Amino acid sequence: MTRQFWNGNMAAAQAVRQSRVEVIAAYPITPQTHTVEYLAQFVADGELDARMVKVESEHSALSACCGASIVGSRTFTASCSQGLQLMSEVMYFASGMRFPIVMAVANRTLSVPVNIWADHQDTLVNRDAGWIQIYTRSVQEIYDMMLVAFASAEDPRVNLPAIVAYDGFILSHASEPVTPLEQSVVDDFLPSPRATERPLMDPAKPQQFGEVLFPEWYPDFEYKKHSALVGAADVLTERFAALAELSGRRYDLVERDSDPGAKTVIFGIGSMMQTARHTAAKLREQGESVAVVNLRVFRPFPEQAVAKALQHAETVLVLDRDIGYGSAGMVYPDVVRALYHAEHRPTVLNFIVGLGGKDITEQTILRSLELAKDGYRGQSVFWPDARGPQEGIAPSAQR
Amino acid sequence: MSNAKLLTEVRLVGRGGQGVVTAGELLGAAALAGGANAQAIPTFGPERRGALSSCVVRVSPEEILLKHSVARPDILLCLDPTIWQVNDVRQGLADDATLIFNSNQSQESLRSALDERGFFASNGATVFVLDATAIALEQLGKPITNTAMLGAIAGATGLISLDALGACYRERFGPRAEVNLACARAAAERLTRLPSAA
Repeated sequence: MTRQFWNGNMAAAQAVRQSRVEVIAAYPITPQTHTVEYLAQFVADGELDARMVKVESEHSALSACCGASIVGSRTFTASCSQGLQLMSEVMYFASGMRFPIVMAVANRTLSVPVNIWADHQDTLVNRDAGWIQIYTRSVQEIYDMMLVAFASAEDPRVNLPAIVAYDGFILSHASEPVTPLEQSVVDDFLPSPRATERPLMDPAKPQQFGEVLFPEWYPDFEYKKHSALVGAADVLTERFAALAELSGRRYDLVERDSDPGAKTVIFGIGSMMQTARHTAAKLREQGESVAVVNLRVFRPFPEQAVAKALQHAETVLVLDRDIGYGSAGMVYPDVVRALYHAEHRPTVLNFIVGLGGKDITEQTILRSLELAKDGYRGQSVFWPDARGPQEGIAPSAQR
Repeated sequence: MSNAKLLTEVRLVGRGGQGVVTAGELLGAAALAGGANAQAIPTFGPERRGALSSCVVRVSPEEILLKHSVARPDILLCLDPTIWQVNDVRQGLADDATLIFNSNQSQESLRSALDERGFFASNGATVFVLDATAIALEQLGKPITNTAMLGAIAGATGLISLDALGACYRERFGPRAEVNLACARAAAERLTRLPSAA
């Protein structure tokens, strides 16, 4: 197909349309709302044969998706910010019930102060809900990852829900070139949800779902759920390879920009990684040894791939567009865990950037690199955006 | 704009309800139709009809990696006749920027108003002016200037062509495309360059 000029919400909606989703339930919240409005239009125009379920809250939206998923329908929802938090309880239910629901999240921070702009607080606080979490850097990537999400979530080895996250406004409302796949190609990539077997509610074959599980068996259940999510890494890798065959666009759990021997590596998720790539490319032209490593899949966390991608670095800057209050950014701890057993352990520092939609520019990246030059100084978490007595250096854990 | 610079950044400003965001999308789509890469990033806040509305469009022959809205615009397009008098829309403006204003003022009074607000502080700026509101009223019967002002960009800078714009208007506006294209053509023809030296 020819190149389109779509915004991020349109790219998500078009991929959902081409995925032949059967049930959609969502509740509007900025900046996600357009996604579902576009889908409602597709349904009204007869371009998508799906049931739009009107609901009174996000909690109900995800609950309706669970009801549709238990009878085998391909289901979609979208949310962000406070709306996602209202869904949170049902998110654990969806993963425990092994429903391959796909959700688009136009990342937006959590109130208060009231703020409608992008950071990753909303999805990252739900990191332990048992969902696959895929992050994107461009509008094209949103389109591609929606398809990968359905194909991976519904794989019988996985049967878990998936989030495709994209930065609110920066990607949801920005228009960029997108080359979509032909419908026949999508159909081959994504077979009918009924092509594979999973336990479904069927009046002809009564079964019970969501039962009480006593302590004797509870750990076994949790181990299975955890193992399925860990194993989803292999399935995602397979789907990335299949998509590359069809589209020529290559993705991986962890993506290295260039220069595997670079001394300094910038690491993170989301659209800011494109600005980081732009900045690093300029610095390399000036002879500096800087590379960028993008984390495409945050859950399951690809521990070994991360360790491998960072093994030659002397300093790693983990950019977090979020803050785990009282600790560090929420991507940072997993990176440290991945590197703890590495043969050469680099210095790993954490930079809290772009909260509440603060623009992440080349200057943000350069300032972070500058702060990283002095390495660890009894303090691993830096705030290059914040104004304070010592700019960028937060009150450290001095005790 | 220097030819050596690959990336062109455009800032479009107007008031909520005037189609600034649509103009940004159409500009990007027209650049894409001309074979370039493009990105249109609207600036969103609490949206109010009549308040400042702006959009940044980046155009480059290469893949555009920058994902932030602050720009160093090479082109400033003011859809509204007075928005630049009540909001500072000059932030980051390149020294050799091309500025395109919608105005029905005489050249003398417009130039002195621009001077007062520092738009001629740099001698490198190139200023174009046209009465896009009059064109819109003639063609559309309402003062929505976005489709005319895109014609002015085509005429003043060549960043996009009227042909590419026409293709995008047809896709976006269907039966209303031709009258909007008439706005763009009229704008490209009636555009005049404001002499910078007093």
